[in-house]
Amino acid sequence: MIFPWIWERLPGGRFGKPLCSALLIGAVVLLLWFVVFPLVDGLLPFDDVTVDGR
Amino acid sequence: MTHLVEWDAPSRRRTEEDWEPPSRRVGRMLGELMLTAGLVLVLFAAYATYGKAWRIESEQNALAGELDRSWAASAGRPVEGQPMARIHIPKLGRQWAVVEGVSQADLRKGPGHYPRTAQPGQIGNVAIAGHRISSVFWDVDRLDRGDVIVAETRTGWFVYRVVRQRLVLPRQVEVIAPSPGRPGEAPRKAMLTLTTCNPKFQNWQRLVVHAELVREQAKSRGRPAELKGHP
Repeated sequence: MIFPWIWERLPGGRFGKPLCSALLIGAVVLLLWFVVFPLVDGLLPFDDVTVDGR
Repeated sequence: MTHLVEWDAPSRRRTEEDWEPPSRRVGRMLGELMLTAGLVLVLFAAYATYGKAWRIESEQNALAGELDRSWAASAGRPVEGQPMARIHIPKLGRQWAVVEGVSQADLRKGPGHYPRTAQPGQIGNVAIAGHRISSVFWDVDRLDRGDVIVAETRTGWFVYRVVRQRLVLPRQVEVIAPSPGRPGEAPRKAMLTLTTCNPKFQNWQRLVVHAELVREQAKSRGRPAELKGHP
C-alpha cells in the first residue's frame, strides 16, 4: 500500500531505486533521532529523577 | 484476450489479477502502519538508551572544559545551567561536571544540583539529581555503605562516604532537606545526596544515596588519596 506507492514513484532504475529508498530511510531515521525524539522525550515522564512536592 | 504489459512504462498498470476486496486492502494498510509504528518504537527505545547517553557524554566533554575555565577565571555564584562542581565516584570509575539546576534542560547535560541546597563541604545537604542512563547514574545502586563520593570545587576536594541507600516515592522531598529525612530541623552534618529514578526506565520510585562528609582537602594539596587510580 504505502510502501509500494512510494516505491513506484521513486526515480532511478534497477540501482537507482534501492539507492533512493536507502537515502529516504536514512533521512527519516535522522529526522526522528535528532528532531522528533528529543522533542517527544521531554514530554514523556520516564526520566523524572528529582523529588518534588507535586 | 491477452494483455500487453508495458514493462518499461513508468508505473505498472493494475491488472485484473491485482484486484482484491476492499477489506483486504484496509487490512494491508493497517498492517503496514503497525509495522512502521513498531519500527519507530524500536528506534525510539534505541534513542532512549544510547542516543541520550551519547548526547550527555558530549555535553559533559564540553562542560569539563567550561568548568576548568570558570574556575581559572573567578569564584562566582552558580548560574542555572552552568557547571558548578565535579563529582567523582571511584567505585564506578566515573566523574561528572554537575550543572546548577534540575530542569529537563539542565539534566540533559548531566547530573544537576538542586538549587538552594548546600554547596559541597557546607553543613547541610548537597542534593544532586541525575538520569538513570548509562552515562549518568545507571549504576548508583551498586554504591554501598563506605563507598567514596568526592566532590571537587574550585577550592577543594570534599570526600564523602555513603551512609545509606534507600528507595522512596517521588514526593518524598525530605530526602533533600538540609538534615536528610528531618525536614525543618537544623542540619548538623555535611551530607551529599544523589537522586535518580528507579526502577531503571521507570518513574514510580526514586533511588536515593546519602553520603556524609568525612574529610576535606585543599586544591593546593593535590588530589586526595581516595582518587588514586581514578581517571
